[in-house]
Amino acid sequence: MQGTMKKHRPQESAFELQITALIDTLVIILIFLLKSIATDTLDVEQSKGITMPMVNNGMTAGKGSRLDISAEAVSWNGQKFIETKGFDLKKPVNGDDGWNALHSAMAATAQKEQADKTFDGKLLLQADKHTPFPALQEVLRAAKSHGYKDIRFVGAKYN
Amino acid sequence: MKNFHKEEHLDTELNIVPIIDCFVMLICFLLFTAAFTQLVFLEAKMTSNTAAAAQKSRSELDQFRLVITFEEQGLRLSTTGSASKKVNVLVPMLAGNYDFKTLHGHLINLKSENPERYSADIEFKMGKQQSSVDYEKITSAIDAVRHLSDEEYSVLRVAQKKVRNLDLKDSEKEKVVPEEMDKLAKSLLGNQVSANADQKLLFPDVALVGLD
Repeated sequence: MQGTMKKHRPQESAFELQITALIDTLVIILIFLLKSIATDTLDVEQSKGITMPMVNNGMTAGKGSRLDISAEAVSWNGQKFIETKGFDLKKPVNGDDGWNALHSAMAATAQKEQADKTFDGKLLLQADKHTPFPALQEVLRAAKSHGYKDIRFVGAKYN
Repeated sequence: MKNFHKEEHLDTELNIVPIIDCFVMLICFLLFTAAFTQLVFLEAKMTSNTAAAAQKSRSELDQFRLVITFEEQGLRLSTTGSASKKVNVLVPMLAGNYDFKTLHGHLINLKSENPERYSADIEFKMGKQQSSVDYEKITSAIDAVRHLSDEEYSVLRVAQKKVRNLDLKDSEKEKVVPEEMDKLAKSLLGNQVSANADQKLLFPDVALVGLD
């Protein structure tokens, strides 16, 4: 009986667990997750100060000139032109200069695209979900005067 | 001097178990908290007035024209044209908000009756209540008009499999098919135009009248 007890006595071993490979894998998974969360979107980046509306469906592939409307500004292709307070486009902070500059920028883009034969009148509209109808109307009227008639309303969709 | 520069042998072992714990927790945290959202877009054309829109495809609009109107009292759904049954429904406000869910239900029924039609106009006649409509409401309206939701589409697929007497998967057998989806499935499959089109689409050719 005593002999049997001796057999089960724990033995010291030189066994060492190699976990470097496991850490490598975990780091790669972590980077992959961070990267996929950051880039799983449309070709456009979400602008600052804009809360997107949620939609059920929509298209993910498509390009066009970009028009952003937030409570504080109206931007064209990422450049801020009209400064506003609370979507008040009738009285912009930077006066009529903002509207004039926006029109000039839209005209320049349209002319350049027409010269390159890439103009298709498509516009990616990214506006804050609370942008009121009169403000949208004002900005889209300006866009339409330069030939942008197909509007792509950008929204967010749960995957 | 030699004694000062003599290298000391350190018999240390780095304990990296806590950092692995941290990584595992971080991955779990990211997976559970990340809102997997994606930016998508809904396409719509701008037209100044109905006459301009009508000139483009006069004959088609003579047969069928679907209009969704933002009004002070709610959303009005109306159809005109020789090939369609006249519809004029007001979807009233629900707790002070436009009721897009009920509108979507009406549109599913309308699609069942007109499976070969794909165009719709959205008009704005809010009178003095112009600020009651914003970007979110416009996108919600286009979203409701253009297509079925993912859940509705999966139910439609089950309904179509039943119509075709195809075998259902176990998960599909549990799905309850509402009467309107059954009707839509039969209607879309029964029409030559819609049978070959994307079944998820309701009225994808949306024109915005009076937004500019």
